[in-house]
Amino acid sequence: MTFLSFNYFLLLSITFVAYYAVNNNYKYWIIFLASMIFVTSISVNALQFSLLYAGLNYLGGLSLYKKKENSNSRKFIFWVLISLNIGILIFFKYINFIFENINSLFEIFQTSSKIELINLILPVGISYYTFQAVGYLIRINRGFEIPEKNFIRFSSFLLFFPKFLSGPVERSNHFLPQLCNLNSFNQDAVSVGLRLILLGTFKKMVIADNLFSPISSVYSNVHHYSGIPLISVLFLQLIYIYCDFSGYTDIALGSAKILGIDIIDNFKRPFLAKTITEFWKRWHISLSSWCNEFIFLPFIIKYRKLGNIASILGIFVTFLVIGIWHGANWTFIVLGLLQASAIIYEFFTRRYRLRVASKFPIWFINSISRILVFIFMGISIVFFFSKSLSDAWYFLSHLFTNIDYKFSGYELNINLQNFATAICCFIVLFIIEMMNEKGNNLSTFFCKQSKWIRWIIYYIMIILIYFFNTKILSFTYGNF
Amino acid sequence: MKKYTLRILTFCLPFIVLWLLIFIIDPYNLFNVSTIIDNETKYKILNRSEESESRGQMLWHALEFERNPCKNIIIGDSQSFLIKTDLIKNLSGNDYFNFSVSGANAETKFEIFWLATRRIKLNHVIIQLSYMLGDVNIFHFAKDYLDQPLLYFTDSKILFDTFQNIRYKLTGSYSKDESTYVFPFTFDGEKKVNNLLNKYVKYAYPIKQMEKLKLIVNYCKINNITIDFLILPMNQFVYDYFALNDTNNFQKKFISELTSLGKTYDYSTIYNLNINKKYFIDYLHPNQFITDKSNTLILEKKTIYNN
Repeated sequence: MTFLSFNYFLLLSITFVAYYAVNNNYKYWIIFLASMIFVTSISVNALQFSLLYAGLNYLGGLSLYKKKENSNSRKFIFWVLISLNIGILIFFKYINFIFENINSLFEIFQTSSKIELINLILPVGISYYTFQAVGYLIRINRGFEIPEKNFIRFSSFLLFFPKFLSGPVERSNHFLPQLCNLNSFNQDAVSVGLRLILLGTFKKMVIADNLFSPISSVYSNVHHYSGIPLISVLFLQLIYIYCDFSGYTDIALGSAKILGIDIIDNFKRPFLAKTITEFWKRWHISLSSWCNEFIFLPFIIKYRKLGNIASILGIFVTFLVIGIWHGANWTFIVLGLLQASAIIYEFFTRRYRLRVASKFPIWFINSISRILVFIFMGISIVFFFSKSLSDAWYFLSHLFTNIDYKFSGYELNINLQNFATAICCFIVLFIIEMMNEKGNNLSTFFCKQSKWIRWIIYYIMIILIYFFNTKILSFTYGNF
Repeated sequence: MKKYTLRILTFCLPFIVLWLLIFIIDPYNLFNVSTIIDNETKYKILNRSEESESRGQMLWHALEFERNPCKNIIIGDSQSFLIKTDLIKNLSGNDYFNFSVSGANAETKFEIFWLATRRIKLNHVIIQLSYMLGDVNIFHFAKDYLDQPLLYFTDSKILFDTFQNIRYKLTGSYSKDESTYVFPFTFDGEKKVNNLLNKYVKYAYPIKQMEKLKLIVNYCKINNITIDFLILPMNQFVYDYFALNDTNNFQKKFISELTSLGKTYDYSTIYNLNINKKYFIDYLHPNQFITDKSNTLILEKKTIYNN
């Protein structure tokens, strides 16, 4: 069941009605049941696995809390639980990658040994709920959080259906208190939720999906392309992944919102970031802030004696984790390391860059910085989409070879009408984001308009979705 | 909450009306309840353009076959489109279902075969194949709607078809595009035909498709289904083009491989009639006379007619 299916719409509608029909004390049961139905729709095995996983962390959290702080037994239980969580993730997601690399080493050393790859099915959403569970255990271990005693509530946190497939990576201290205090029907919250679902569907179906064809054409056979098609894709892919993932996130946020639950947003106008450091504070926020809280900060605190070296190592480790989190491939590792290098470069050249910037008008510096961030991220994302490092290298090394200025878009399977519509809609979206960045709260302004104006805009969005959708139902981040 | 629900329902009213319209007109007989528009009109409307005929015929035939499955089936593309099942019934006494879909490539035809086997125990299958096997599988035009019938209401193309049907009902007219490959050559027409043929000249030998075909042949053997292959003629211009590009061996290999798999009715140069344009609708499609002639020959079990 994907977000863009009738079954999801039906599940959400039934959940909505049942949720507001029952007493506030039992609302979390509805959330739990809806989540179970959602996971079962993926597969019964997924349900069994995720319930076992939730059970492990539920009991783990309780037993951890019972032990004295700083006691050896607590440390032992904590590390066993963390190792189990990470071990499960590594087993399902990275074991074949590790075996493949060991086999490559065997080949290099010309030994006849070979490890057979394991035929595994990756449990859907595992990267997301593993990080959520690990965060929960770390917070309990630090004494920042009391474990949830109700298993139904805890499972609802870990397996909440709007965020089950592709996040956001929610924090227990943000989500669980809401489950204990579920409110009655709130018209404003439901309206905001429905608007978010519409906006997310629009971003995904009108913008992202109509930009997907050239990206998929190039990456499925990158060696057939050079010059303008590659340059076009370099610029399109970041817009595509943003609209695809933020579209998904909006639908997740909206679905939760209509049930009166707030979940962490993933995006805050990332194209307006002026540095890579700032970009990562605006892009996939739930993951980057999770890594900041549970990897980077503990790391630099532990090695604070090393000074700047601790920060540099901390950044590398954090982005290595972010890179690997995306998947078992060297391309993702390079993606992470590229980000780390850029952030470290910004850290050490900050004063020099500020001195240079002071000689130019601020609007000029802002624009140039944003363009440079966009180009850098475009180049980085090549490693996100490429199947291998050699493909990524081919892509980047053939950007300026065989440039044919008569490029018509034909070779990229572009449907010009849909493509133009997607680009126009993205420009409108970008302008709205720019206005919001400048402090104009367009959302409040929009809500103050008469019902008819709002409805006309909703209808236009729905008509565009109706006529320009390409029936792609899956989300890129659903693969993680 | 009541007020709010009412407001949402009011907001959804235009969509409910549209969905009702689609349900009533039912351009592909998915529900097969309403008879406001007759089948002949619906079929004419879905054949109005190259885009609509591929997806339209695919869905139409799939739904029709679901409702009225037939043990004997002809699977093909636009070349076998004109095969008259009535004529075959008169000659053979058996019912046949013509599941020919414009633009169907080899894989589309294979998927149609598997769709048919899921629905009924087949007795006789004729698969019309072409040297030009095509590279776009259009089976999803049926599969999408068979798997998710609600897509029928949310697909803008179905809405367009619905409106074309309403327009025809009200005005008696509808917009029809001309075929790309129609005689005589215009500059654009020649360019399009050359582009298409050029694509096939560059086409690699369809090894994968042949493997899939072998699976089908094996299945037919195990399940006692008679399977025959049919190759219908194209205008001589097409063969000359292939000869010019030195791809004749490719075609010979294709036909010989087909013959090794099952009875192959190769009418590609039937009585040498393909030299004469009057026997063709356009460069790629034989007319009714040649199609009927081919049918008669099939039923007489005469396989190769080169001279």
